[in-house]
Amino acid sequence: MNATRSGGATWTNATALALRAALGGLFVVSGALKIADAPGFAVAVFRYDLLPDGAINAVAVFLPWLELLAGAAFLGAPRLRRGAWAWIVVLLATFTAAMVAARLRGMDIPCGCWDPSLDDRIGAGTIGRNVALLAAAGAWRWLEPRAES
Amino acid sequence: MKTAHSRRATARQAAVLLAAALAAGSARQVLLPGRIPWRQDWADYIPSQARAAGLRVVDGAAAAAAVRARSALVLDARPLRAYDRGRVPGALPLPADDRDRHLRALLPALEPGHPLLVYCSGRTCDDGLQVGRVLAKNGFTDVALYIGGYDDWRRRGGAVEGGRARP
Repeated sequence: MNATRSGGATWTNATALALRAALGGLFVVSGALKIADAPGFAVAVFRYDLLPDGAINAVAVFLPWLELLAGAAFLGAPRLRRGAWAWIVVLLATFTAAMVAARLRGMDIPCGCWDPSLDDRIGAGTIGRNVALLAAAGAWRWLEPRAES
Repeated sequence: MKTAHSRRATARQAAVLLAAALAAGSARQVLLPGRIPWRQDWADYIPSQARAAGLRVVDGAAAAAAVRARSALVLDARPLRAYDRGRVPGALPLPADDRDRHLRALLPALEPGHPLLVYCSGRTCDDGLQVGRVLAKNGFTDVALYIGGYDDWRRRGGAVEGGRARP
């Protein structure tokens, strides 16, 4: 009985850790790539045609830092982890909504999701990938109180 | 009670991260090379590159006049699936993502001075610009870029043609 409970706890801990490492790592890398190519990311934001022109560069300057810091805090700062998780969810939901809006408007543009220099066109694949990441974030939130920190 | 406390803590942590991102972004703009201007004329982003590549930039009225008068060969730089869904009447496909194959089929049929009108989905897409650049590099001397693209065409109530059509 105890062995079963211990096995379950190990699985919960390992899964929560794997989800945290994957999501946090993805956000750190993605934020760093956008910071390194701020002009390219500004063009990616412009292509969505969702923001007023005056707001595009400010978003291109600050949003990658929010991604990077949220990812880093989710990975390695327990005292900021819940806040980091909240930003990861908000950012993923916002990116997904922007992609859906672009598709509904018949736009065929690169998603600018991770590396702004990639020609990764918005489609069912990119939207599905974001939905899967949102599901992973939800699963972490569900597992986290059950995992031993 | 516990939930409300937990929500407040999460909001506080999120605010700390937002403040750190604002500070880091501002510091990067001031301290490191490769910064971007805070404000930029995005309305001229595609047109200025088109002009620099030797293309003419035309608006919806000029594009409609060219289509009506059949004074230019109209080329659609969007992907084929978008072209098949709907296009400017008479437009031929020259999708940016499969440009070379379509260009090989098109080049022998055209004189270098033939007026060409290229468009893509709208003011923020650069597929039309890319195709226009390649046409100019291939010796075409009268290439116009319809900057508003298919979005503008539909907004202006222009006629639309659909279905699969290939040269």
